[in-house]
Amino acid sequence: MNTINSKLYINTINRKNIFFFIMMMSLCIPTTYADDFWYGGRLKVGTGTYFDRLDDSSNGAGPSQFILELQAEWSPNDNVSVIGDIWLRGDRFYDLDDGEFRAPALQNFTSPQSAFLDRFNMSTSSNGTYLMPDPFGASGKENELLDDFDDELLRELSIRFTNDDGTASVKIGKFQRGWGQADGIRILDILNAQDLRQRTLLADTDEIRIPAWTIAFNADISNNVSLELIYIPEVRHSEFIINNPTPNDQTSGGAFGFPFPRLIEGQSGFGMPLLGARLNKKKVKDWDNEEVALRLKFNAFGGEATLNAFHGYQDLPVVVLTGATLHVGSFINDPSASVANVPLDVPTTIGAIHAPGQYVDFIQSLAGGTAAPGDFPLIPFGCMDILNPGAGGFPCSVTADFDLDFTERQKTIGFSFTRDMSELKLGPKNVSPVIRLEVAHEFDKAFNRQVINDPFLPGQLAKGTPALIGTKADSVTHRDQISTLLGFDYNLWLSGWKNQRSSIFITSQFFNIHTKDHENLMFQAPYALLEVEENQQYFTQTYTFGLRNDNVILDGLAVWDLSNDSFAYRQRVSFSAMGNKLIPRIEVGIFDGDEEAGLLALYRQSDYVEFSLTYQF
Amino acid sequence: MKINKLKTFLTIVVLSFMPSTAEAGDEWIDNWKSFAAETGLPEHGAWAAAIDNAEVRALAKDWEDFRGYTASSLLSKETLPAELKPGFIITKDNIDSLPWIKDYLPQYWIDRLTSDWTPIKGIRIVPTTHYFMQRGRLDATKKLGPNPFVINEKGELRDQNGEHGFISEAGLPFINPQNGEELNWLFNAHGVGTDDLYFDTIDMAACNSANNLERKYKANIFWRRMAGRVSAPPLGNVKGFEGITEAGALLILSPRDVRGLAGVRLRYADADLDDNFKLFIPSLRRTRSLTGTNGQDPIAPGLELTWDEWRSNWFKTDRRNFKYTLLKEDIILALPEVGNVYDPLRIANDACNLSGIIDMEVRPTWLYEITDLTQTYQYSVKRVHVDKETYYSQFLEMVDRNGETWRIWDDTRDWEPTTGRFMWRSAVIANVRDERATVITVDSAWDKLDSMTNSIFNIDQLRDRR
Repeated sequence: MNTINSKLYINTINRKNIFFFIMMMSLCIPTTYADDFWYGGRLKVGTGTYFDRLDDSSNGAGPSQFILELQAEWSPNDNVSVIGDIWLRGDRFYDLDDGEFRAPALQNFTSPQSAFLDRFNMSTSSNGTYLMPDPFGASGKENELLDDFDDELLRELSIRFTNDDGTASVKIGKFQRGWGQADGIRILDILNAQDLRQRTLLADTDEIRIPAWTIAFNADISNNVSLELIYIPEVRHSEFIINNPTPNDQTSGGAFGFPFPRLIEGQSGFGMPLLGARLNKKKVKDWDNEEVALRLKFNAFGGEATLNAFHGYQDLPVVVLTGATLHVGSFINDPSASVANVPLDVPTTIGAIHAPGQYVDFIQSLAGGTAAPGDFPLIPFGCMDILNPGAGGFPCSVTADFDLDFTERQKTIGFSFTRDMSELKLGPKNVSPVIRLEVAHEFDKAFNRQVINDPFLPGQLAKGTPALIGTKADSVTHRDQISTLLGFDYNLWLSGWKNQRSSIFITSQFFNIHTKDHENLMFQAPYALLEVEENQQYFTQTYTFGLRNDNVILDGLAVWDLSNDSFAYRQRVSFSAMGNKLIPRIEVGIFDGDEEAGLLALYRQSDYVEFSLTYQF
Repeated sequence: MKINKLKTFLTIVVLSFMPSTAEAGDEWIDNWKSFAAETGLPEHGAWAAAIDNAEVRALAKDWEDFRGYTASSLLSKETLPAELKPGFIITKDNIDSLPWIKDYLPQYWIDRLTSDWTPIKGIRIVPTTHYFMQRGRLDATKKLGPNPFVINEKGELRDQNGEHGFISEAGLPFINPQNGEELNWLFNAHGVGTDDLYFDTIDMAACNSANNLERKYKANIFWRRMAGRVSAPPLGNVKGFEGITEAGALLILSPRDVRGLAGVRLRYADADLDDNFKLFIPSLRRTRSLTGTNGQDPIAPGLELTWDEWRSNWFKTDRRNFKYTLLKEDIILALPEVGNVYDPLRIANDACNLSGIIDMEVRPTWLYEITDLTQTYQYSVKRVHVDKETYYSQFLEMVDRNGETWRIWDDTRDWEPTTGRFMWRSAVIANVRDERATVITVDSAWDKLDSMTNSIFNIDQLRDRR
């Protein structure tokens, strides 16, 4: 494995150049005159509002996203097709919101009466003032326009060759490829990472997947057996933004940013005030590492089955401590307001948190009611004793440095199966359901630990957020995970509706994600209190139905996190106008759940309604 | 119109002014030539030229000898109204003076003369053409022994050995049908009228009651006969598609938001095996299996064309669920199969209106009914006029569960006179109940048929074809 710092630049250039040389040569090969060229595109503009906000006090701007997309395809003959697709996306929310949308921020150091469980909040559309009582914020301006050419603008550039009888093909370029049978929650659909920045999992599947430079080879081994080989030389990880109030690393993803995690000492249940976090993405170096995959597809048991294997990298990170900074002069982690910013290496940071008499001990003694003035561990650095401010000293805080580490391997095998259950005919029109089954076994999936051994006191444990303060060896472990989908699709005809024009298409999916030795693992760091269930279960339900001769399409999607009792629902009402060139749409999204109770609950303050207009040509 | 099709048209127009090669006994060709001279319309002249050649005469004669009749000979035995002859134009001004019209012209077309919904200016009667299928199909049918087929308790076509008749034999069954089931199988055997079909492209317009375009889909459609192939390689049965009679594939090219949507449907001979139906959905970038039991949904939003109505009627024969009743022999006015040269519907550029006078010819047909016994199918009854020469439908009427006419299907085939192969030129699927229509225009890609491969019917290959 190669990480961003471990290979010579020249190696990257070679591999990238070779890939692009192949691409360019491929584009030169089809010399036939272009008699089959197509181009099209769309302009989508939306405006909306977020309601059910954190502070319940405002009802201002909501998702105001836009997309400009241009596509072109050229098929000079039946053996060659070239596709280009470029899109520019953005969200005017950050400009329109005037700083009103709030997200949870650091633990509030002024609220010992709440056991420091009260939190500051932050603006997600304007930078922080760094002035009490409302110091935090981040403008999110970088999300107004997603305009990095290779990473964000270029959606597809590919060329595909096939042999004369169409039994073998190779596709080279930047594109996405979907695997598996599951919708929404990924089991085998892992070839491409996901862009969760704009509408999290509620966006269309093809808009979430992040395309990657890829070579895909497809061959029919026999009439009923085909093999697909995938080589991805550019490793991409999922894109998301944590709403981070920490002044020296403030970031905002707006309502669809991941909320800043609660910082909780797990044994006492007390909040951990005066702590911030600076996040650094650690990823494998582009073009210096690769992902490979294969899929064997065949007919079996009256249906279609696949065997899949993937050897690549995780799309979501584990969190690894890399050090810290002590800010002497600021309670709110503001380095510019500090008289000294003292860098701490990993051992020192671990000591400052876990060593006897240090931060965790202090929090626990507060919880136990045994803390006394003078116990505050930062007093030796000239810091003010928060139990005795009158004694003088500087306000102090600590920013921990973490890597969001995407370099862990993902090794998965699995199979999928789908079948028209024609033996089972249901409803007034005797329509059969279609079953979808998918199972994946991931080996050695990396998790952050929710509980680690106390580095200083053998036999003692550190739980919750302090478990993130350790070496990678201490804080990260690996488990096998088995994910299963059982899904049904059905065309619903209503018995009382004699002349129903078209069916209501419904899908139901049940997911079970089993993790071996699940105890004391974080579901996703840095959410330290969200644990991995032995069997994490989800249920999803969709429906699609056309009204008024399909000029109005209703489209609903519900997701239940059964293990965490959280819920999300998206309702779309799409209209067709001007010969379907103009598509007005109303979209409502609702999230419900307890704080940090699973992925869906992360957006519990992000309910939205959006009206959009799409013009396509 | 594609450039090569335009060239063909112009060539035929030029040929139409060249000296005649007609021989005695080919009155139907002479009728067309004199008719074309009367109207002076280039498309009529082009059609007359297209059928005025030795290949057409020879193939027509072989089919006539085998069948023992032609459309003309059957019509000559009937007493037809005096006005019902080539050149007469039915209009809203004269229709009330034609008391016989309801006996020959479907009510749908009568209404078009007076309605604001999909109106037409008139119906011009053109000469009756002698249609036929390919020589290979004729030869295969001739080779069949006496009583080669039976229909079993499920309604399946079986040969004398109990094998599926569509798999084991290439010949047409029941060319003189004695009942509705036999006629239904003869209709089924027409298939798409050729071994391979390639639409490059088909335009499907969803039109509302104000004749305005709501949506328009452009697509490729492919079709392959997987058993009993007689004219295009691989001959016989296609390896790897055992048990399958036909395969259809659809690749939508526009509008943009559904571009790349690809569907493949395989039809098994066994009545108990539902179609293998797969769809690649661009918004998922993934293939989904769909149930073969649900062909009653429109192919795409807004369309009146359901999956069961590919090639006018493609829902599976099953006598346990449907009753097939031969009603009568019937003479009707129907759209001529002249699509190889021109579109007799004359669909306007707006894709929804018919721009002028449409052409129809007098056709001898069998009329049969398909009655739903399950009380669950979208149509309680389908009434099908099957042409006595093409063995394909000339007009379909579909009745809803309240007993009212819901939809009709009428089309024009792109029939290649020199070979007897059929594709399509245009069609109207009208929802009479709600006054909506799907208007279809097709460019049949005769020059690309040789490029078709079995891989088109593999959804993983088809999805990347765009």
